[in-house]
Amino acid sequence: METLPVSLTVDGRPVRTARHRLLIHVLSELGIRLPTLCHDDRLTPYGGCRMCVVERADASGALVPACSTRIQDGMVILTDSPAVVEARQQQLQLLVLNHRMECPVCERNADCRLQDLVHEIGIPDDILPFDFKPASRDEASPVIIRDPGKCIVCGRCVRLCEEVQGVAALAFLGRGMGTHVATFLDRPLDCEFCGQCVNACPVGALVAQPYASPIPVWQRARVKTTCSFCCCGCEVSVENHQGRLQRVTSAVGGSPNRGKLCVKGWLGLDVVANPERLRAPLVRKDGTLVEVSWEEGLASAADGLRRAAGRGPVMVAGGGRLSCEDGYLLQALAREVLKSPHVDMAPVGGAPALVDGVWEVFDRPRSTAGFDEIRLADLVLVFGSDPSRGHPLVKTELVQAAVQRGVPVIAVSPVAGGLDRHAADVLRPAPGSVSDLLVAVAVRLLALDGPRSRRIEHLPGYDAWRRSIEAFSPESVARATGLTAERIDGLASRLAAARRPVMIMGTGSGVPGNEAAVARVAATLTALCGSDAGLLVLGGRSNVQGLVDVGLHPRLLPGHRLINQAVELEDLTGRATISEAGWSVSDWVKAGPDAASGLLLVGVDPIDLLPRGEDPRRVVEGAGFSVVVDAFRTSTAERADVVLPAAILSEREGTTVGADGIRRPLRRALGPPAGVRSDTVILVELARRMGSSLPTGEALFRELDRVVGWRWRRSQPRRLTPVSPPRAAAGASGFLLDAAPQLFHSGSVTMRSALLQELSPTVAVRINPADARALGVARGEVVAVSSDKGEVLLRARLDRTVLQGTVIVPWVGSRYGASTLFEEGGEVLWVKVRKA
Amino acid sequence: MTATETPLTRDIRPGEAPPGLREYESKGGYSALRKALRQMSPDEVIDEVRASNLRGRGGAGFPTGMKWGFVPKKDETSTRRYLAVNGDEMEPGTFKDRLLMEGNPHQLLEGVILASYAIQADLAYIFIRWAYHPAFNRLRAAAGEAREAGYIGKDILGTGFNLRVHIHGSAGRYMCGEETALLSSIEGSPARPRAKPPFPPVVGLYGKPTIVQNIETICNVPHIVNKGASWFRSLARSDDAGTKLYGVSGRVNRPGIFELPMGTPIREIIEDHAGGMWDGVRLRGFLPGGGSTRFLLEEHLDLPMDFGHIEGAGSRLGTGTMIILDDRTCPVGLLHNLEHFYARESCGWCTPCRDGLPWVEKTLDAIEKGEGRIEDLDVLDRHCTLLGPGRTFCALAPGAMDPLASGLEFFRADFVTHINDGKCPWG
Repeated sequence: METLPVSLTVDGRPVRTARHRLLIHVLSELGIRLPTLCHDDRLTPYGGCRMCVVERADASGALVPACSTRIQDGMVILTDSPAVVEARQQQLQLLVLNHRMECPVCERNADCRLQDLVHEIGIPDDILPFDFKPASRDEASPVIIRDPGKCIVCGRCVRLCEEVQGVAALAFLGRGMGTHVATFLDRPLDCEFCGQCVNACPVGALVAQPYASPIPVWQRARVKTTCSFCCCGCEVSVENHQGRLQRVTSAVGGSPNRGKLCVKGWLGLDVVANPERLRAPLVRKDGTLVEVSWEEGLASAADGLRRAAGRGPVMVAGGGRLSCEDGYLLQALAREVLKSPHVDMAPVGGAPALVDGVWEVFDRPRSTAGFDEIRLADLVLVFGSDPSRGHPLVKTELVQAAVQRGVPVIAVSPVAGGLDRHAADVLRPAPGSVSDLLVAVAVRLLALDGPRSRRIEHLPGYDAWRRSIEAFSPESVARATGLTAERIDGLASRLAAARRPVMIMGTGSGVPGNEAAVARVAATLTALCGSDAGLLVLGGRSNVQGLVDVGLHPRLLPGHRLINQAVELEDLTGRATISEAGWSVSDWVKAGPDAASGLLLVGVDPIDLLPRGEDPRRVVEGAGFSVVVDAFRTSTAERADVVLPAAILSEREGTTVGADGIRRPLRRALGPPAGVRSDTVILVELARRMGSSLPTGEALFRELDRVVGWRWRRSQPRRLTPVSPPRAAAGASGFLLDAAPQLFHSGSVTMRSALLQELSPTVAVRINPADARALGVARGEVVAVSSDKGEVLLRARLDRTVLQGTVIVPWVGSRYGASTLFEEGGEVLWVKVRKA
Repeated sequence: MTATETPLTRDIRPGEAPPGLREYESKGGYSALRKALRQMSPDEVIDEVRASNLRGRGGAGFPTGMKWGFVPKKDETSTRRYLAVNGDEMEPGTFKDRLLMEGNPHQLLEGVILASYAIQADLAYIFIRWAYHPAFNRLRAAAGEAREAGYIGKDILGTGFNLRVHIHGSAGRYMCGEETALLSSIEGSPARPRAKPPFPPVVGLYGKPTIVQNIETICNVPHIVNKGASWFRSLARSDDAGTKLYGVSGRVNRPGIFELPMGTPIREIIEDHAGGMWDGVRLRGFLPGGGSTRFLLEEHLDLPMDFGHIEGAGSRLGTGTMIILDDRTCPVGLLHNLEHFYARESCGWCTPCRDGLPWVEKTLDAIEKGEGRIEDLDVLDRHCTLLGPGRTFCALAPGAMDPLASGLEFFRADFVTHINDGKCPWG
């Protein structure tokens, strides 16, 4: 009891609790649910709507809003007194009278907090005989309709936009009754379209244009699932009516995103209804792909693959969005049925960082930090690709850390990022020198705080590592990174002072540098920061971590087993597997067009998405027999022998593992359309036709539990490896290409979302206006961006947030994408830009 | 005779230019500053102000010395602290601070420097009402002179005390007069009040300890430092110390501002100083301390005008500037005019104030036009509770309800007549 110093009385009950808490939280623990409109646990306490008022019998009956009142010793609280009930009813009446009532035709009918509260609380029955607020709807934005006539001025949208999204596209203007939510100069919203404001609006004042639907919520089916656009693992609720997508929302109580959304997760699902989707299996006959029955499609595929396997190697690759179950089945199909060791995922962004980076230092190829660690962190260091583009939930967590809690966020990147303006410090190391910078920081950390070495000196390899860092003199570091010793010292002192630092490393196609080397150095630095420090590796696709866990990797069997541990695996599955390392996707491409006699690609489009320098087209075309499982007729599908149409995104069942290592359910929330089957069914059916039985359903679930389990304790450091000496930075030559993930697009799927294309066409290059002027390029004119590997023609978008000397080209899209310009390995790329 | 001393307004010449630096100095100006900086510790200045029993002149009447004592001491924390002087004088019927700012800017600046020294602030803001252009210009000019003379800036009078003074012109909102909204406004945010506690002396401007003080309060400080606490107490005719700038507006013969001993009886202020009511016009009631106070009636005219007595009569001294209701003025119309102001000036944050005040205003408008219904009086009564003390985020709405609730109590018959006759009896 000594640990609960505050005592108060609630409705006559004595209560003891901890200090400084908000009254609403204490009351909610007692089972007292207060009506709220403006309260949002993700935001700084506000206290505007006053629906949650309670009476303070100890303070002359003052009514205080529980959501923004901190408890004090000796408080006497009445939560349901006549004064409280009367005040709530009258306030509710005021809100109702100033709200344009069109409930029967409102998009939020039966899904409206105001409506709910009127039913729960009731309102006095006199009617205000005066005018309502003006009701001019703003429908100029393609996405968000603003309807001020329904706004109850709770401010959740305004505050979320500022405190969580860090954008502040909305603000209050006016005073008194004239207070309204406005945009800058009343222009149409042009923002990140994260949907936070629409999702949080308690009434129908903000609604999503694409989701305006006459179908009332009670006629919709609502399924809670995990978003699979990126590896944040957000919980989303997908609503459908007779299979048609109605809306995507997210509940504040959900994990890990606490109701937060991003443009892809909120709007991108429209891609499932893209009319170009494949609806029947295709088999190549006389040189052209023709629609066939599933029976024929599966038989041709199985037959062709079996024969190819008899002739030579079969390359099997899965996309980074496959579920754990499908990834597991795919590697089993390869290793057990086709007897091929050549299994990989593509694009691989994140897997090298985990397997060849983190695992070199820690005892699991997994991140050591998740969202809880970010929320507890007292310092965050961000490097690699910009989370505000590729991993929007992480971005909101960092904005909240900086804006709400004052936690210093340090952004390290040679190119501009969305976190720069919230960051306590921004470091711009020379392109490709992040790993050298991190080693230099470790060196300075040891100089500042020598005893810190005790945290790692027991590890094997310590002495060699210690010797290898001797090459990192201030001069050599300055040559490599372009940063002065003071800058590096500053960062090291911040780290030295932090108790719970978290490092966040973004990966993905188009992120320059050797991600495995960066991750290894980052993991070493994490170990040096102690057991309360964490490293979070953000993968390039939603389930990179899960696919590493289930062994969709050329050198890794399920459950992080090495190839030589195959026997252990066979004991658990009862099936024979092969125990040799296989090709990675890039090994396969390098091996040339004649190397593989067969190809099975599930959710992978190497031609559009692999770096062009390797010429994946050649190896796809060179394969003797190829099967593509995909939702669209991709460039690769175009050249396949058999194409099997598959379910995507929220049409699937299974599990997925976020960057934080937590396994979450994928539940079927939509379709799939007629004629389309799930990857699971396709893989099991292919195996069956090749004479093997792979587990499905409950059996598969139990086998994964035995083989993988996901019951690992938090990883511990296990060894150190020497670092290579710093490399002097190459001088700039032309423009630095920034092809890291985009906010609106992550790959071939988002490219096919009509909405995302409308909001942000993939066929544009973003360039600083000063650079554009120097090149004589005006807004919207076509420029040619070229490297020695190729050239793309794109329209110029002038963007002041792009650093001078940098151009941003989306990775995606074969004719327009940066992949055309790249060499495998993703080294720093300098490109030439000219007016076309 | 001490009762006629008028330290605050002695050197003010209405309608003429204010005393410049030289003239101010020649009349003893900045001697309090010399005395405090050279002979007194900051705590001794606070002690003197505390002993003087000076109470805030902005409306709430909080003891000034006590407030200054809440600021953490310099030896406890090295954190920055600020002084913010509230010259956003937008209270209806109130125009006393304008006189002080326009009439003797150096007196205010000397008070600002002394108060800053007392709380060890190195940055002071003087927040001035948007419409007060002359006050703004004169203060800016005076601050320039003071800077030139070394009273403001680095190492003031060679004592090592540094102070910067910002003259801040408001963007123009009544809400800015609320002390926490004023701080938000200085920070560049919309003028919206903040939750209290924490109170500004602990967490104020930019999250640092801040003293917010009314113009008139600050103008008293040089005189207290110069002549001492007991002199200051002796100025008054009641327990609340010092002189007070009383204002009278309405149908009196000489409306205006009068510096009189604190506790001067109301009748004396109206009859002797404001020249009494117009011939043939009878006083029916008055708002004693600006628009946001409860009506008092004829029977209260012999009360001493000070914090305790006015509160005892059920109202507040407020700003000490009276608005007089006479028998030729419609009380409904007066209240409608006031509530129109409050409804417009609500910051829009909390529901009862934002959405309740317009309803009140429109209801009063309807009654005044003869379109009211008898049930409307229930609506008004209900709002007096709903928007009353302890029911809204800040004091704006309760202040707006004070004149209305008391008006409904004292002049209810006039409301009923409007409704029954379908027109305003005053036409």
